[in-house]
Amino acid sequence: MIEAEVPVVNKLGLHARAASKLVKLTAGFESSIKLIRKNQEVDAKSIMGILMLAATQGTQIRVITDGPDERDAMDAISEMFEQCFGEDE
Amino acid sequence: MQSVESVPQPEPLQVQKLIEQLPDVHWYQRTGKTVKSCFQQANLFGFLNPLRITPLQIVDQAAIEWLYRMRDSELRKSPCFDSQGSVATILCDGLSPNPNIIEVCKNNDIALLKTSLGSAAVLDCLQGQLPRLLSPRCNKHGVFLAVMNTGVLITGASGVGKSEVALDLVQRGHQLVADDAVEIYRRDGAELVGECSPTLKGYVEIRGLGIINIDKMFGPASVLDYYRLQLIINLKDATNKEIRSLDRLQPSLNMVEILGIKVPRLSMLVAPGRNLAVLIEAATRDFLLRKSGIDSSLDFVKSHDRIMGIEEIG
Repeated sequence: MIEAEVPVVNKLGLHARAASKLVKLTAGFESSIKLIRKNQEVDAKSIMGILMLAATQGTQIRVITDGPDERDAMDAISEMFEQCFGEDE
Repeated sequence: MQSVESVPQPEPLQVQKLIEQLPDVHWYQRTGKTVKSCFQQANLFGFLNPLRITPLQIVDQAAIEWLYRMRDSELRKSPCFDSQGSVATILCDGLSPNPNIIEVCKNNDIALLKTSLGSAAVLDCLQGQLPRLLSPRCNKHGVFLAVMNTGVLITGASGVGKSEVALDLVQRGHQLVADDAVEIYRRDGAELVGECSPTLKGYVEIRGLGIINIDKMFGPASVLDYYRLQLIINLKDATNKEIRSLDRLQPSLNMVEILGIKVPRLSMLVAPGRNLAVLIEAATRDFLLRKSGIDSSLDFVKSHDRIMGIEEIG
């Protein structure tokens, strides 16, 4: 099990299209992936869950991956957050 | 899946959120202050009283007359408007504050509002809203529906078909509470209530269809704001081996603990040819029967034993 804090850096935050991209990514991993914000814990493979977080720019999200490909999943997720979900800013 | 979890500490109470529940309110000043949840109902609010300060103070006719008589300097020194102890001042019966009161509240970041409700009604309303806001909460991944007046939470790994079965159940006349992310809190210490986050209310995500609006598609009667959680049905993608090794006489039932309350959880295997909506309806009917003391499996075994002439053991 790996745990890491990932900040939301893009301007629009974790909006619907970003969430859709994230789910597409996480669904490809076998490991269970969870996102936690404050006391809200959601499944990163569920778009509705991610949307419920309504995480805006600057929010810290705790990511927990657990399973055979946990390291790859964590790397890919942090990279996607860092690169603003492929958005300009 | 973890079956036992610790009860999370409740978050500090957002006073603003609580007061917003009052009807017919006119705001003079809002506040972002919070109150530690360890405050019990008894000492969270009360009538304005300089000898016993409560975070939320209610001002009625007698108190407002007393406040009107106070000079500006007296008001500022009064413990009733201390920026540490006081969080909100609620004027009842449509009473209005004078400029001095408005100013002292502004200076000390104390919420100030008036309502047309009487003091008893204000107390009633605040008291009624408190358990929902103060009780411990958690999130669960799953679809929550009211099936035949029973709150059923359908859980299972991502992609097992939870949302699809929810759509099927709504089509069959049951009500949706929340898709994918359910907020659960403990009510009256003894029961669990699941509700939908306001951002997602009435929406369901179906692979291939995107996000659909159940409220509009099936009408407002197909969506509920909240419901009591009574049964968990865990969907499992079955391999052939698992299906063969199932106990054929008994349901695969165990108890899981959520926020300190035990809830029955039924494991149900998903496999081609198994109509999940019908199975969930049947499971709910069986749950209702069990609750009223009828255990079909046990009844059958007993009656069969009787026919075979086997004495009951124990």
